[in-house]
Amino acid sequence: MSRFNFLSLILYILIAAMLFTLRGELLILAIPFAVYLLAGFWFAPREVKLDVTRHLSAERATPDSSVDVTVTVTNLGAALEEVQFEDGVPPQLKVLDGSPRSLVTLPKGGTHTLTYTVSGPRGGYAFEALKVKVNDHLAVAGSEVQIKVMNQLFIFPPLTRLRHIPIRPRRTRVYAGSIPARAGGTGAEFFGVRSYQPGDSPRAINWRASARHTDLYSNEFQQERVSDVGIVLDGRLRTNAFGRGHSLFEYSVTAAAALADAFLAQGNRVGLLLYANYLGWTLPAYGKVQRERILQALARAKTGDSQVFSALEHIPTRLFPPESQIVVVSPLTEDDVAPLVQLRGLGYQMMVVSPDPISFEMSYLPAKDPSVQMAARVVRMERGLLLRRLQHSGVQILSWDVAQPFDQVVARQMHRPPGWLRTGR
Amino acid sequence: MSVATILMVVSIVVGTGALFWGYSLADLDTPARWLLAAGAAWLFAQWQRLHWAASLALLVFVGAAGYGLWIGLPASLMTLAAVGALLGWDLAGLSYRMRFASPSDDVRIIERLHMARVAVVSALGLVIAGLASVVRIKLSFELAVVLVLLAGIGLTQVVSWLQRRGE
Repeated sequence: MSRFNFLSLILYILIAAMLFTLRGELLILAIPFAVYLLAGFWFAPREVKLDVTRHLSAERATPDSSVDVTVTVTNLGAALEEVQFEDGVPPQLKVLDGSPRSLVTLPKGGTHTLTYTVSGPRGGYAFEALKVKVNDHLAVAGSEVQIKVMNQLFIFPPLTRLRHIPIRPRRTRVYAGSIPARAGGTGAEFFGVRSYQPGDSPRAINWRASARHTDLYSNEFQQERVSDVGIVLDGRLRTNAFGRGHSLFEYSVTAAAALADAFLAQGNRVGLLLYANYLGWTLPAYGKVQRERILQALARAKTGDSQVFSALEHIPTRLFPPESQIVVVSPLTEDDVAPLVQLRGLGYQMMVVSPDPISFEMSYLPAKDPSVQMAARVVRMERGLLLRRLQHSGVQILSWDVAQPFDQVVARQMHRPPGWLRTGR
Repeated sequence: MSVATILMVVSIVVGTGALFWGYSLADLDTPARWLLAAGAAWLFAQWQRLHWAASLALLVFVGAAGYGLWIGLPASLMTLAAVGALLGWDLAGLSYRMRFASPSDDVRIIERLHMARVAVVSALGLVIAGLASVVRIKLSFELAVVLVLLAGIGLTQVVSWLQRRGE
């Protein structure tokens, strides 16, 4: 009940009591309340005309880094006796310093600045409205307005810089890049020998082959082009969530961000598919703008559970160009082998980056417990088998113990692509 | 402790004291002691930051003051109790709103302006109530009902006029 309603109720009760008891003295008690109410209304705020701007010291930040928020309110209307401001801070963000609330008197044309510092976990956060409550000093009459001031803060996953990641999809795009294109032309790697054609550089002539024949022969080099890369981030709750509230998803997101950054830096066209309780698709594109788009999508990525997307078999292949590179970032389960092998069978070059769930779980379980050790051994064998089955199907595997930095694991395991990948099988 | 808090405690003590004194004068010791306990409970609730307690306490105090007037206790003490309770309730509300202030806000200005306003309002209320208790006109019941209804309608009209003026 508002203060006005409450006081009015008391006032009317007193008047009714006076009539009921026929005691005029009761009216004396009602007088202070009536004066209070009338004074409140006399000084009630006439109009609320406020100009609000909000400024964030950074619109893109990293987890747990601090961002300063400055809200400036200018009173364009009549003087306001008592104004309460409350800025709508997204609940996941933590206010480190200052306060998003304020109580001030705002004269005509006066300005008030609200400053506070926030930090938070990975995510996309919207600062939407400033809640303003205006009333007289007695708080009898007042109004509450929400002034829309839109600002967005993206807290991106931490970005690990990766060096060259060797991929070799069957089909490349027409632009020059760093991926061997299985076609002769200008490049660095030897590709083959063909008959000399007018215009070939004398340096390209293969004198040894030419000496054995009557005609001249030229060396051909492998063209290097850019490719289409689709990154599939597994956001299924059943693969990412573990006991005691632990989750591997943050690691998967970090890996996806690092891979997207590296592939885009190599000049490839990269798209991102979040496979959770819905399909979050970031259309493939090149360059820094695409990097920003992917990071924004990763900032917003959340795990989810869905009956439809419980298995990887619903990855929509239409989103990825035929024979392109697909990189799946997933802790993997037993059921995931068949859909991944199927994708490989469709002609896609497959790479699976798998944060190791067993090492992750062992990091917080009692390692000295014999039953835990036994269970770990069994599941480790099962996982080893699963990875081997994928490898035998021609899927490139990168198993990542999340206790180690991702860039180091990539550098160690991928400094040289496997033989079958080098030969372009 | 802020000035508002000190004044709130003083108001509650004055209101409770006036009720206790009034009821004690009529040898109603048990209700007087209960009212003293109610005042203490209100103070305790404010200390515990129970925001809703002030409204409940105001109802109790106004009820006790009204009943006191009905049974013929001194009007001055009962009015003083009601005004004390009103002030206590008002300042409890101010203390609650003050929690919205950030450490950098200069709340002393708001506090000072509020005190000035509430002092004038209380003084005016007391003066008018005092005058009303002195001036006594004998009216028939029918006329009193008509006047009360007119006063009610008039008050409603004034409030709606002020609201329109605010818009």
